[in-house]
Amino acid sequence: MRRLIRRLGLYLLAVWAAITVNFFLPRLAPGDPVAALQQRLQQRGSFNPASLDALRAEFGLNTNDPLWLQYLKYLNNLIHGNLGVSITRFPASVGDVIGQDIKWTLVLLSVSVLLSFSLGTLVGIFMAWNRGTAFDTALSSLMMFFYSILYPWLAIVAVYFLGFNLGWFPFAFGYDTSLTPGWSAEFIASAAYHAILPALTLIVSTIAGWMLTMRNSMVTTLSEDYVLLARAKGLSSRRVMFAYAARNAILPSVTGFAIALGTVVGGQLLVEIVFSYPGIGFDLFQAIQGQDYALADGILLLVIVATVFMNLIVDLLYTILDPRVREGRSVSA
Amino acid sequence: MMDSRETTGITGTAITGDILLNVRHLSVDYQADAGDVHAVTDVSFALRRGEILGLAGESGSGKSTLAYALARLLRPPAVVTAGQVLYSPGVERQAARTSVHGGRRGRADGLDNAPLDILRLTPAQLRAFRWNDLAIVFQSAMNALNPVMTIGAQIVDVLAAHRPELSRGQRYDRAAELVRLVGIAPDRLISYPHELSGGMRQRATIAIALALSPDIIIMDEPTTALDVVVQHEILTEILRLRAELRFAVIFITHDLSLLLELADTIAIMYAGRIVEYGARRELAGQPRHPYSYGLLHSFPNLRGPRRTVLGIPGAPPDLRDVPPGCSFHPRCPFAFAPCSTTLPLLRPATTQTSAEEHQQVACHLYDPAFAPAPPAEELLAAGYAALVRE
Repeated sequence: MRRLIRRLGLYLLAVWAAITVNFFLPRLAPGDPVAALQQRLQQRGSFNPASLDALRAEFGLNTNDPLWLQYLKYLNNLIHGNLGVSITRFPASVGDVIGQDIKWTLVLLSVSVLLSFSLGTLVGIFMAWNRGTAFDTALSSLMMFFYSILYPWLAIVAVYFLGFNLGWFPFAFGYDTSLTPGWSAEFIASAAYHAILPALTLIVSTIAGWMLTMRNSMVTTLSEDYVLLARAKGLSSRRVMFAYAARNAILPSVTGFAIALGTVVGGQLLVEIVFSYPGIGFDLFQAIQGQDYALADGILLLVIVATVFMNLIVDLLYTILDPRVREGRSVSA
Repeated sequence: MMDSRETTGITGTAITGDILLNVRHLSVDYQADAGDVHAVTDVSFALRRGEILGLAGESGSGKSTLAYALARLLRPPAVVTAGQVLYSPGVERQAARTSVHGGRRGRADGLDNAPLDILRLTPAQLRAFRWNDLAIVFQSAMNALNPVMTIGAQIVDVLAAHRPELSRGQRYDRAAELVRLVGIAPDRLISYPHELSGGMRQRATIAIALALSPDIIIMDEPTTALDVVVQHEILTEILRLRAELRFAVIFITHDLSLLLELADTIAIMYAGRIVEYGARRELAGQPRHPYSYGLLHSFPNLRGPRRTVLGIPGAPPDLRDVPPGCSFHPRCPFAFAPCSTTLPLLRPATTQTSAEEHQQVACHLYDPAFAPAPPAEELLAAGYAALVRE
């Protein structure tokens, strides 16, 4: 328990440090977002110079305040759950933008990451179990090939051939835009159909990593004496494979899995850009282009919190999975 | 019953139980591109019920490979190239097995007492044979126990695999009984391996080995990683359990001094072959093979008279390319003409064939065809002493 509290403190510290960097970094970059907004509003013809200062204050970009005061105000806003107003999506608040788009990212990425991890790990187990066979050798080489493919290339190839040329899958947006979003069967089917291609490319590009990690880790545990002993005990192959070899080999993969889950929340910039997917990653891309500090800050904050949170989960998971990291456990006499 | 005399040449042992295991002309190779490694070559011996057979030799002499071959645990590239391992379960065991396992190892030929060749068991027979009849205790108890399972779970899973008729409660009761038997408190069943000391872990692996009351337990350097005090405790424990449960032990070690405390019979291996075999007393009293002599005098004796501690110069041969004739001849202080041309086979060390004499040695010095009379012990001593002086 004390260990947990110490850990929590450490994670809070990490979040604070990240927020601080997050705040200062864009403000040290050149460019004035309000000027950019001013331009945009002028184009719409609804610009009133008197409201500029009000806008600055609203966006937390009141450059009349010294930076440290801006920082404190920013922290204060954060604590109250106020992430500010988006510049590019004005007048929507950052919280609303994120709340609306995160669903897309969460569903697409969590399904892909889960599928990729579980499938890759399972196949990796069988590869290690049958190491040296034609199955293992062929799949290992194939996976090395997949592993070295650059994701944007794969995604563009998929969009071009499967989407554009063959027309099997839609290759842009999260759903058929002629439908109204809602819980109708038609809409859900459309959303699922649109998700196939991005999910597929994601799985193909990440599954090799899971497979090879698990395979290599398990090849190591397979040569351990406890696996030999399990075999000598006359246990079924399935039990030796899973309860003894794989159970010990999966520990390194769990860390990687948590990191992957952490990125789920932040979205995959490249996926969402290539597929024009209405998720958080696409928002971040637009926010950076439009110098939308508030939105970029909000999304990065979300990524940080998610990553830290996933790390915490892994910490807890590890204490369940690996009794050796449990502390202060004593046998009751 | 097999006629073991004809095949192994053994003319009687101090242990008078039935022959449990009869190993005949067993050879194991590690197949490699650079040439096959002949890890075990033409090894024959018999193991009787309740006997502790010590298998000694330096690293790479093939003793562990031999043990793994007996347990059918060799993994590629290791391959058994020749031989038989005949296992003869006792009559009661045979009967109990057919009643409990309902003909799981039913025999097509109807010969219920004919020995089983372990190397030719079907997968189903092998699964039943493992741990029921032959269990193993590994060298390093830390790595031999699954780090993420409790000791209790690792005992219980043997019982779950082999005694499905037992209820969960009965399995845990049996597990508690087993750890108590090896001197561990049953509340330790919920401990993980890393929470136990080295000696406790080794006791736990012995408890796992005893789970199904096997006939044979192979112990591969079970005490090597332990300090001498714990080592002694474990050895005492093994002797006590053997007396209580009457299992036979094949005890593998590079430490001949351990075997002098523990074993009934000792086999000395060199370069994949057994070069000397005999009762402990005979071997301790008068080692015949020049290699055994060197090995036995390579550590100080605590109880006997003062003697010079000897070393055997040189290193064991490359097992891909074993020297012709006797593989020990390049290192042997007594090598003479036939040693580099003719392979010595195990033969009685002395010409008198009294009932107690069954020490066997694979050395031309004891072959009347090559040497007029076996060498006196003083000669062996003098030969090694000369090496030390050089």
